[in-house]
Parts: sequence; structure tokens; C-alpha cells
Amino acid sequence: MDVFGWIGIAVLLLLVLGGVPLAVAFIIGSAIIAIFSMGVPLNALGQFAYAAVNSYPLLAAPFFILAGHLLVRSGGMDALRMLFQAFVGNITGGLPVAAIIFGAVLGAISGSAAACLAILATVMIPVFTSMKYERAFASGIIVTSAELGLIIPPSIFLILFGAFNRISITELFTAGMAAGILIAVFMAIVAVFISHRRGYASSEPVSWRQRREATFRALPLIGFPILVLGGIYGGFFSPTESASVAVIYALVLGIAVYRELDWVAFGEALIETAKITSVIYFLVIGADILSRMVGYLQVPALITDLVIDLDLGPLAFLFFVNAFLLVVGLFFSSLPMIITILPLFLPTVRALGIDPVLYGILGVINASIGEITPPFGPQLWLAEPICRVRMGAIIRQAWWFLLAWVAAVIVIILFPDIVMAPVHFMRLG
Amino acid sequence: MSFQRAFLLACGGMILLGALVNFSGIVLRLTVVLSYDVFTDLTIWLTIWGALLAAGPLVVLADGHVSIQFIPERLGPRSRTAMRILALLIGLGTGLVMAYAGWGMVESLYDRGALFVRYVNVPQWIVKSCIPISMAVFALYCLIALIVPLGRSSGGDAEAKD
Repeated sequence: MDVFGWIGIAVLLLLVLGGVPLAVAFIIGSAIIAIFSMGVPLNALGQFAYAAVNSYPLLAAPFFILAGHLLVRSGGMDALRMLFQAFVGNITGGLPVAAIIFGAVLGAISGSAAACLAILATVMIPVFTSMKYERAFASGIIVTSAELGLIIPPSIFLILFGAFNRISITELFTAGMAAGILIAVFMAIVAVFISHRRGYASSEPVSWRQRREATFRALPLIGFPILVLGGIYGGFFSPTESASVAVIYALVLGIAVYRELDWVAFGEALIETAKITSVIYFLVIGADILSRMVGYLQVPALITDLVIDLDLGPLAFLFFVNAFLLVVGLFFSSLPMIITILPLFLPTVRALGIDPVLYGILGVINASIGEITPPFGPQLWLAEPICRVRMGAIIRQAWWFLLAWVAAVIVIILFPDIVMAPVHFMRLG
Repeated sequence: MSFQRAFLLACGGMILLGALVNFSGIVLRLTVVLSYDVFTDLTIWLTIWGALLAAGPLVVLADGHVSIQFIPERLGPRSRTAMRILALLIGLGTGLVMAYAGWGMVESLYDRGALFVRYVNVPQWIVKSCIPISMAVFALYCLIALIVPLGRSSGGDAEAKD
């Protein structure tokens, strides 16, 4: 690497640590290397920028974000909460389990952890406190449950990972569903255990008639993941097409079924979508230009050589890389982590014969854990004002559920077929 | 509604339009078994335009773009302001460089008459001008963010002195 390569990397690191937007830092650091080290003409940077976002699979992200924002404003969220409470609320630990299932399904509907958190906290915390649960415990479970939306399809992180690295988004969704269910089950076990130990009460028994009514009210929302995922797996739509179908379905639910999507809510949904999509696209441009430079500097090849020299087998490598990603997640935002850090190890993953889908799922789980762990836990910052509980108290309760997430990572590494069997089955077809 | 929100609303509208165009393509394909590549392309183009144009207004919003604030948050108010100004200046420079690079690309596409050869041919320079335009808007918002808080802080200082 020549002197401009080092200068580019040093500038990039300084700008990242100095609080400059990551996309800008990536572009500047990479531009220095591209222009002065590689001799790339300046005009080519414009072409790189356009090529980075000129991707059809990437479109699934903004459309699912839009669908999620429309759905959370549709007015059907209370129906969904009542459904889960009606079915599992009357067993000990049932309410936390209902919150976890609510989070998982909400994740499948909205695809956004922030939206999930806002809804879960607004809808569930009053129910928790009315049942004499500690507010901090409720906040801890809600923060971690909201993260399930980052794993369970249609997960924006999985779409970005797949689109950026040309890995099948449908396969990532399939493995993501299995991983999400596994984490939800582990979290539910922890929730029931804690509820028993602390003697939390269960809710009033619910009659089958009430359950039927709750199901009927929530049915259009339950139909959403069925339509989206069924469309993909049934071969009717690509993930991007299913995202645009999801937008139309969300509009129909908000306007004709639950009827709470007025012009103000509609405008808010559009503004929020524009904001998040812009952040993602701008980051994708920066990360794409950076990845070209990282490739030129042969960083992935150096990592592969290092791993081969260390003689790590696939299992040891997966443990090593996941421990590394877990630590990186503590200090790095999850979105840039997925499009800049995860691709660095992909050549090694392929060289060791590890399925990139498995690696992607594990990477996204680690990035999601980073969203709720200090010091860089953006979801924690969001949770404090929404849940009205101090961040420290939330973390103390959330640790138990985070352990369930880490346990799921370990189980997936040791028994990858838990998440990969459905993918292998799909490939057979 | 502020200009900024109206601008973001328009960008969100473009993304919605992209989704509607994509949906229309699916309906056509599934009902009358017609498939035009322009449905795919128009969806991509509308979304890129909407997404990239929105990058500008985000500069002036708190937590607009993803950045790591671990070190700036631990600094004193003056140093933090200095870091913020530096970040905006760097953003301004990046926006200008990328706008210039994009302009060079668009100019070259225009001179060569490059087309997206589709059912209806579309000049590439029209589509790809999203890069220089959005980067110029980004630079403009960095400039606005630099001028407005500086003006406010100098006003604040004057009040403090009074």
C-alpha cells in the first residue's frame, strides 16, 4: 500500500471518530485512495455513486420501510396486541411472552426496530404496569423484542446485506425467519422463568368467544406477513415486488379496514420513509466506494490469508468472527456495520466453505445486539424517553434477554441446520 | 409546514410513486401477461431521486445522517461546536466534489448521447443527473446549517453580553 492508501485510511478514521456523517467519511477517505493512489478520474466517482444505488433488490428496503410506516399508522396495532394477550396472557409469564410474540409479528409487519419499539412501548407498557410488572422489566423486554424486527423478514438489514453482496434475499429471509423464531423462543423461556421467580401475575382468563373476536379483528394484519412471505416463497413475486405489494396492502388496511390513516399520518409516513431511505442510500454510496478501495487495498484477501495462516476451521472461525462482530457492534452503528464490516469477511467465509447466508444471519444478529448494548445502543436512547425509564435500569433488565440472543448465536453456530435446513430445502426445489 | 418537511414529503412521494409503478408492473404481468422493462427502471429511478434528494435536508436535522458521536459528545460545548462546524465544512466540500464529479459524468453522457435502450429510450444524462443535483442540494444544506447556527450563536453571544 502506498502513502496515499495510508493517508486515505487515516483521514477516514479521523473523520469517523470526529462525528462526520459516516457516508461522507467513507466517500472522502475512499476518494483520496481512488484519485491519488489508483489514478481514478474524478468523474468516475459520480458513476460509482450512481452504480451503487442502481439496484433493483435494494428497492425492497425503502418499500418495506414505507409499508411499515403506513401499517403502524393504520390503526390496527391495538387489535394485534389484544390477539396475543387473549391467547397467552392468562398463563404465568404470559404477558411478556405476548410482548415477545407481538414484537416478532410486528417485526414481520414493519421491518423496522424503531417503529416496533415505539408501538410496543406505547401499546404494551400500560398493560404491563396495570398487571403490577416492574416498568423497567417491561422496558427491557420491549427493547429486546423490538429487535426481532431486524431479523424476522422482511428485515431491512437482511435486504441490505443481500443486495450489497449479491446473496439471495429470499434465502436470507428463510434463514432469518428460523433464527428469529429461535431467538423469540429463547426469550420466552427467559421471560417465563423470571416471571415465575418474581411472582408476576397473569391476566384474567379470556373466553374463546373473546379470542375469536380478537383473531377476527387482527386477521387483516396477520394476513400481511402471509401475503408478503407467501408471495415470495410461492414464486409470485420477487422480494422487491412483494415490498411494493406490501405498500398497497398497507394503504388498503389504513384507509379501508382500520381507517386511521388520515392525510397527516400519510404525510408523516412519507417523510419518515424519505429520511430513512436517504440515510440508507447515502450510506450505500459511501460504503460501495469504500468497498472498491478496500478491495484495491486487498483487505479481504489479507484477512483470508491471516485466517488460513491461523489454521482456523469453519467452527472456530465462526466463533472468532462472531465474537469480533459482537464487540464491534458495541461501538459501531449497525447499518454501516452490515454494509462495511460484514463484507470484509465474506471471501474468508466462502474460502472456508461456510454458507454466506448463515454468516449473514449471524452477522445481522450481532449487529442487532449492538443496537441495544451500551455505549452505542441507538435503540436504548430511543427507549429511555418512550418507556420513561432510565437507560441504566432498562439495560439491567435487558441483559437477561440479550443473553438469550447470544445463546441463540451459539446454538446457530453449533447447529447451523436449525436455520439452514429450510434454505437447503428451498434449494432442492 | 416548513420547506424542509415539504421537500422531504416530495421525496417520500417519489418513493411511493416508485412503489406504485412497480405494483402496476406486477398487475400487468399477472393479468395481461405484459412486461415492460420501463416499469422496473422507472421504479429504480424514482426511488434513487427521492432518496438522494432527501439527503440534503437531513443535514440540518439532529441525528439526520448516521455518525459516531462518541468522542464529540464527551467534549465541551465550544469544542463540540467546533467539531460540528468542521463536520459541516467537510460535508460541504464532499457535496461540492461529488456534485462536480457528477456534473462531469452527466456532461460526458450528454455529449455522447448515451441512452438507456428500452421500450422507450431514455437519455442517461437525465436519469443520472440525480447525482450532481442531489450532491449540490446536500452541499447547499451544509452551507445553510453552517450559516444559520453561526448566526444564532453570534446573536446568542450578543444577548449574553447585554
